[in-house]
Amino acid sequence: MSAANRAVVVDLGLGNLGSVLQALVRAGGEPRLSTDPEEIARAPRVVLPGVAAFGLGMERAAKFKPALQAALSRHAPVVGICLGMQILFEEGEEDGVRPGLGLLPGRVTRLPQSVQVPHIGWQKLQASGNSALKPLGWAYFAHSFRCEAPDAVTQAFAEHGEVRIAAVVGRGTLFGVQYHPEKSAHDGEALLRRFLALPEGAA
Amino acid sequence: MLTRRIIPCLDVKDGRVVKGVKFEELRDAGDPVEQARAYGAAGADELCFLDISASLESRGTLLALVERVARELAIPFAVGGGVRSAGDAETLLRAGADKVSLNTAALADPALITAVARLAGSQSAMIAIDAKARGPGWEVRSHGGTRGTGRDLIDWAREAVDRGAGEILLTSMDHDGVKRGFALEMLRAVTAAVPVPVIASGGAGEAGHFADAFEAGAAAALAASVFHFGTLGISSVKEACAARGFPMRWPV
Repeated sequence: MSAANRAVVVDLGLGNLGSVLQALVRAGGEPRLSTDPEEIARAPRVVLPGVAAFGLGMERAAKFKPALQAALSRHAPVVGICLGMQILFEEGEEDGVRPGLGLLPGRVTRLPQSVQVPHIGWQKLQASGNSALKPLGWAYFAHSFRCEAPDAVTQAFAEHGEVRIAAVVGRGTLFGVQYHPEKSAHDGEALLRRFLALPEGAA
Repeated sequence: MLTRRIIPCLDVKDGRVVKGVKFEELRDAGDPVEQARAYGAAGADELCFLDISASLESRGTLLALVERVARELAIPFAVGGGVRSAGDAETLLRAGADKVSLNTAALADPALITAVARLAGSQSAMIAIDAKARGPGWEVRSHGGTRGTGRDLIDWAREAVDRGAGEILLTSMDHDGVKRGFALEMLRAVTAAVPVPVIASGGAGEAGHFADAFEAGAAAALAASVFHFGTLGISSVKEACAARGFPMRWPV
């Protein structure tokens, strides 16, 4: 068994967990589903998926914060997908203002009424910084809230009308992806492959 | 800028596709997973599965199908037909569907839309509306278009969105199967009335019809038989729409 592509997927019991697991397998990964903070803290890589409202996501994710911090302190690559990205930020305004995990600076706000909401569909990513994930090509989005992330952590974006949507964010070995790489055909799979190829966290 | 979407729709009965698909590479023309894979490779932006069996026994078969599709398909897919409760929707989403489409049950109990939107987010709660011209406007039909509801299309579209629907799949009963183009006047009326994306359905016969639907405000356009019988390819439709100035995910 190759140790190269292992990832622990945090099971928040939300949304399209199955799709994410299958996409990781298609990308050559060896995903392992977990609800065990110990296992997540020691994971070679961590994937935090989720599709739901911010409040519900945080209810399920709050207890994993120390484990995620421990993984990051070992320089393990960690990626949040869609809601899994949004809850990495300081706070979200879905269902009233709720605190997030606070691992990245910024807030999660509803897309303004001046653009079509939900933001559903495909568009090309635009790079806006160096990213180990090298986000490129076509991305499938399906969301009503966005992360207002500072430029310093924004690695790729997409423009929806006049609104700039942070599509990929990152700092150190922590990443967030607003769109659905697991549903973004070849380019999505390529991004997951690059995540799985990042060096594992220290033992 | 978002690209406009082209969505093939597959009618599924007892876990098998009812209408055939003319993809030469298919090993099994009745297998929805094979067809899904072929459409994915051909550049479809999304797929829609409509379960037309909707008997209780067939629900288990449908779930197994959704799981297999989710395992192999790297584009989003919606599942509709016979979704009667938030529990039904949850089961489909857990099995791997990205969106659930609600129709007759939501007309009987509009709170169902809110329940699904709360569970999975508005972007996963699609309302399917079958409508037919009546007087100066359009009437909503239920039970696969067989029954009138007396409800006005625009009123129902607005209510569904207010209750949390994140997308509208709008089928014209008058245009469906006629292949002379989508119901553009109806599309313009609905897209002007609601802020969410509208998927045009019913009437596609040639590539230019898709561009016409986009011009009328549709975010996406859906078709079944023109794709299944090989009359049109996804690529030729996308090229025609791109030539008319619409951003398309092409080449993939």
